Amino acid sequence: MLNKTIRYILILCAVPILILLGSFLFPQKSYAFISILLVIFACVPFFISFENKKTSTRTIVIIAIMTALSVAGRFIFSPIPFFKPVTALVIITAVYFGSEAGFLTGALSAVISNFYFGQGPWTPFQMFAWGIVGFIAGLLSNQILKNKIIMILYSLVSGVIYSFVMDIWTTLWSDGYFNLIRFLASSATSAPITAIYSISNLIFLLILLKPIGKKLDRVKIKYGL
Amino acid sequence: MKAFSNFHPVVIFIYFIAVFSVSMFIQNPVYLITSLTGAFLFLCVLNTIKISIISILKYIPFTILITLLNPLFSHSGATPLFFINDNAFTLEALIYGAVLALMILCVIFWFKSFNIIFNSEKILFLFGKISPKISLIFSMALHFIPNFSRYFNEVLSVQKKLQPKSKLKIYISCFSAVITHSLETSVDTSDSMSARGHSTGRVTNFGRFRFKTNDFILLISVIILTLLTYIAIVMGTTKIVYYPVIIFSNSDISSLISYVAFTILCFLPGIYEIKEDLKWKHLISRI
Repeated sequence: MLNKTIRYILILCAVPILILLGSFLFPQKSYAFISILLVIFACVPFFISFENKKTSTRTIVIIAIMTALSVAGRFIFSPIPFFKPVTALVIITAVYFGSEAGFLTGALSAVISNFYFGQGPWTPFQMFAWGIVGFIAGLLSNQILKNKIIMILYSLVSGVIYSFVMDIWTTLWSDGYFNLIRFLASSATSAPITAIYSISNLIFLLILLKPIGKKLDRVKIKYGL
Repeated sequence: MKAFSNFHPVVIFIYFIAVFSVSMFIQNPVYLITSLTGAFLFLCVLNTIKISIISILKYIPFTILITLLNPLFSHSGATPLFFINDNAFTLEALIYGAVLALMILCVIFWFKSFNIIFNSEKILFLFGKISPKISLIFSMALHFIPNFSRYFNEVLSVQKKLQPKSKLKIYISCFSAVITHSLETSVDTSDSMSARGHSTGRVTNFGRFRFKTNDFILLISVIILTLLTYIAIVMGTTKIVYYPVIIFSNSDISSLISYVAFTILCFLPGIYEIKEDLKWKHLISRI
């Protein structure tokens, strides 16, 4: 118990200390440094709460499977450009297994797929972006399942959330402050790709949500998850 | 040869953090050029020289593009070169763009060697103790990925012959088959895990890394070199202000020490690899 309290206090203190350190050591790039740390520390509470909760072996295996599927999907669909099922699978996991599973699947898919496609300073931001897409999908799970319009809207918005987070990082890192002109320019250049990704999310979600949902429900009932 | 990857993961991780923190957040071309040279040397030793030269040549258009684009985004700076639609294209912004391009190149090239050296095994070793459940998911997912890809290709090769459908449709239906298959096997996996006593005790993990004397020496030298580098950064003697006019800080002995320390830090892995390579060749020649 004492150990746990010390750990929490450390994490609580880590953020302000690291922010001070960042503005002290890197005055010209303090925003970029702080943003990368904030993104990492924003993921920590999710990991800690998952670590401390009692989770069944089956949930762990399911999260591992969904993560592996979304990473493998990036390879499998490589002959068809721009069609990547990652976001759709993250949303599906979140809808059927809750926001925590969604966050973990999204964040871990980002890290693991970057082992094949290259790690970089963007890895923490990808983790956070995909994780948060999964987390919100978990919160909206009822609406997404029942209301088709909300599902369509969310799958389009999720692509936008992703590119929004990535463009903020690009701007902060290159200028050292939030240069609105650069932000708008990088959003504009990434807009066509964002649009294609959003539409591919939508297509995947429309095709996969029901059949995978059926399969997940079947596994849930058959084996009592 | 990857002698550097035989060091303890914690030490390698600290080394990369030290190099990345300077190369990513300090906008001083002296640091950036030494950093890029060090990264290039390391990459040359890890890959072949030819591949490394080709990979750096590929980035030349990108570098020019970043340099020229920066003045279009930021119009601060006191020396206008010319005007585009009443917006100044300034010398300072151009130079800042060049430094920015250099910084991005540094990060890209250090990450190239980071990707080779820091594989998933080391990540698992680093985070396995802190977070056993997530590391378990991580290693299971890594194990499933090649299995799923292989299974997908098996299903695809059959389906392609059977159904004259569009490519996307076949891919999606085969992917769906992979999902069904994997969900079914997942239950077997988890039952077998429970039968072997998963979630009854603490999760331990296997790592073949031991902290040796060499690791200790490297750790101490990395810490000392990083501290020496940062003294000048904290004192501000290596600081360069770009806007509105470029101002170099008065450099003194501390900035010289800082540059030398950072140079040694960046060339450390490359030189170590070359040293080990020569040693190996020498030993072989004596057989």
